[in-house]
Amino acid sequence: MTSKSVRPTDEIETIIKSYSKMLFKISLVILCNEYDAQDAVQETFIRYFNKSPVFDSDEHKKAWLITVVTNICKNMRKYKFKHNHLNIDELYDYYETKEDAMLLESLMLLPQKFKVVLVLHYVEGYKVNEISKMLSVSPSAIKMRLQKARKLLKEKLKEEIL
Amino acid sequence: MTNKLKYTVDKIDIKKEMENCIISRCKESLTQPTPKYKKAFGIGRHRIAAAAACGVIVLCSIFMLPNLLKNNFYVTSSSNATSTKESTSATNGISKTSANEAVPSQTQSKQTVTSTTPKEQPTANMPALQIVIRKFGDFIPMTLDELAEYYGRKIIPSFVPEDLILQQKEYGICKQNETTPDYDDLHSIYKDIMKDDEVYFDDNYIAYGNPAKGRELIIEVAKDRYPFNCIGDPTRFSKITVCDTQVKFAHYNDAPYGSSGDMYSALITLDSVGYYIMSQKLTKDEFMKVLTSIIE
Repeated sequence: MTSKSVRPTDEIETIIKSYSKMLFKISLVILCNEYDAQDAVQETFIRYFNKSPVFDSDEHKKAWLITVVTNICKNMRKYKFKHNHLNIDELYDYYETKEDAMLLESLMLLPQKFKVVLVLHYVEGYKVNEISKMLSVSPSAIKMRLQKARKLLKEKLKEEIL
Repeated sequence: MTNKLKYTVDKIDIKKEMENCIISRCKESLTQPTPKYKKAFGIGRHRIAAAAACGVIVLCSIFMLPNLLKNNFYVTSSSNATSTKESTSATNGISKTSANEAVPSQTQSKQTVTSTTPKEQPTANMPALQIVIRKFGDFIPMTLDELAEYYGRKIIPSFVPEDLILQQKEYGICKQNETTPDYDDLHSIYKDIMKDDEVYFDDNYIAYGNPAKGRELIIEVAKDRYPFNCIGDPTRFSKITVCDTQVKFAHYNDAPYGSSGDMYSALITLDSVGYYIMSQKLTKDEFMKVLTSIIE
């Protein structure tokens, strides 16, 4: 990657509008708090615009942004040293049905390392090898996390229903 | 389920006002010079409330400080520090004599603390679980020597940096009896599982600190397992060998989000005793010396 000078402001808006939803989704699932997720997304874009890297492709750029926001969320969680739980009532801002809100709540209750791989694989569509590079974890560890994450999510969903 | 998961998570959308706030903050930060560790976060409602709360606390501290200074919680060469908290033991004046009894190998170096800055009560720094269990009638207080006998090995390190003073002085274990609560899911207490007179909780918390400099050393111990407090620790541990013993070791620094400095932690099992050792603002060399002195 090479750097180039700061972009014009309308390009800033275009880039933010293109990727903010994706980054916000990932941050919200990890941090379980809207405002923290907003901070994480903002910090990601600020780093992006300050470094101004040039990418080989859009996919490369997307992967870079996801890796940075995941690391920022990890650091924010360590700093807080607690799990900020989003009340299910607040989840209704995003969903109309209780079932959808409960599924998201179950996802958010999972340990961070499991929910990150679930979101990257099933929601963003990344393959195991790609996730392995983003998170600096071996592919076998990613596979095990996916397996465990699916199992835990099923159990959490059963608990929520009961 | 995984299709449903994708469908559900994809429904999350960032609110327009949040997106606009991010856009304007990004534009601002690109037009203004940014200091190296400046946090360019947006001002959310909760942060304004937090900032206002901090302001109130600072103002209260300024007005309350003179009164607190009179109480003098720190050890001085001629002080008679007393505790105002009911839950602390009768010996808790953090007197020099008590410090000597508790840490016999540190007799000389700890006698010269002269700070009179007020500090938190020792119990305020204990993990919440430690505070809760002391409310039950089944808590049996113990001295450090009695604890060492219970665990079957020493639990305090032979080496502690000179400026750190023993802060926590209440130790003990919980043996089930008629006063034990029937059920406490939060703290994993299930009376039906244990029998009366059985020890159901034996985590202990030994804290050394220099509050003026923010330096801390905490050693938590438990029998036959790691202390409960390490569960959920988000730190990533790596395995190292110290004195031919395998140790899970981690280093973390929370800059730029915080100012805790270098934090080291270690998990180790020795003779069926689980140790969870944490430090804040100690050097790596100091931490490793403490760790070595526990192992040897």
